Amino acid sequence: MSLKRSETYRATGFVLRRHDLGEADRIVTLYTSEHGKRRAVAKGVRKQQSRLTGHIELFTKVDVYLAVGANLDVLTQAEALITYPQLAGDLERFAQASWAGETLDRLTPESEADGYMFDLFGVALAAIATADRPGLHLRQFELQALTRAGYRPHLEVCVECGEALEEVTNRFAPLAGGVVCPSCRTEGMSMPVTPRALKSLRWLLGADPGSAGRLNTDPELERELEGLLKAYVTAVLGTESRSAQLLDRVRLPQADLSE
Amino acid sequence: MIDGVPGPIGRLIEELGKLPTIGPKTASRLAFFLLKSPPEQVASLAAALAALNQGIVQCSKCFNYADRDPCPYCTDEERDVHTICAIEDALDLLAIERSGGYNGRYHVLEGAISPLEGIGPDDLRLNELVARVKDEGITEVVVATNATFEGDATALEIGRLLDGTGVRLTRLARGLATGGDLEYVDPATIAQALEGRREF
Repeated sequence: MSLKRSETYRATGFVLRRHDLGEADRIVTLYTSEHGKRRAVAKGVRKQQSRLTGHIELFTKVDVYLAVGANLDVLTQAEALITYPQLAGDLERFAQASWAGETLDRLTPESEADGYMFDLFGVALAAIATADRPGLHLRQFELQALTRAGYRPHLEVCVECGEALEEVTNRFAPLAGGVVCPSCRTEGMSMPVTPRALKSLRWLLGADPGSAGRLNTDPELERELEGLLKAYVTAVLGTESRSAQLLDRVRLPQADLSE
Repeated sequence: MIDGVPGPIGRLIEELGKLPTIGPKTASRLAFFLLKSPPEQVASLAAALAALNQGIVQCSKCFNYADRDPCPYCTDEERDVHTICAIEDALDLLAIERSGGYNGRYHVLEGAISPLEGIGPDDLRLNELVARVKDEGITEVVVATNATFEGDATALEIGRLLDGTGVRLTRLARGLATGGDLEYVDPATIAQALEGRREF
């Protein structure tokens, strides 16, 4: 459904990004279930008196009324439905939620409604904010969001020869879009993928959104999965996620920071 | 050069258009407004612009802008030398000064952690803050970053960096705004106001 100029509409969305505009305004990027990604001006929200401010905090699920403008919509009303204060109190979760938001923002074009993608993000955000092992939920979101956007990684057969993959350490080639068997070579960067990591990736991709917590892992496997997906997301999006850099940094022990 | 506009005006429009929040339309409007203004007023604006880069330096301690380095806030002996207030922006310093509620040193971080906008901890003056806490015998750091996710993330990172130094870390209180109507307040703010409620 396309929207006409000056039409007003109601939508439910997540606040993905915000940046300041002019004296007291802010541009918010919303991912709505009805109209996909929309950018809107929220007027006066940096002032104390604004009734909108607290409702459009980052990662909030919000009910909004918008008026369609020439370039940007204008946000007229907002009511927070779900807020995630946990994310403001934990840098690692904050960085992971940013990572999910950044991935969604960069994978999706404006104004293209996708209710399934919206649900994927909602489930992932709730899990990243509250669940144990938020990283696993982020992995599942990345796999499923990339798949939804048309970048499903090939995890069953070798992307070069098409033969079924055997249970040995294969190689994962992000630019080739999947796994390469030991007897094939691939151009560009590749990294080893152990059989259990490959199984985990397949399971995460196929399982119900939000079920990542059921996967049996250990810190070593989680690190491997993070490395694989970081490389894949970087290959698909073209640049490394800024949130991933923040995550690396907030995990550094304090002793390494003061240098 | 802009078509149909005499050179100097075109140049002014171009220069004004480089300012934040000013597009080509506003730039033209401002240029023609200045053209019609009394010459003294234009000369005074020109003089103010020309003086900007000559008189103003960034303080090497707190990164505030001032007419000398170190800035008056860093050298004023009347102020509490053991307290630092960490703020995102030099403009926040003015806001806090206007309140009259604070009388210590400042530290301008020059932003807040915002991965989606490409600002990470290394882009901020965090290491400088840690060094000052250690070198200047600071006993309290008041973290006055904005009450946003980005401001909170920055506060957490400051807390992490200063952990173990023994310095007292405080954060500005949050809650209802003066003159605010409870029914319009968002849930997160109400939750924080309840958490921070006080005996009276």
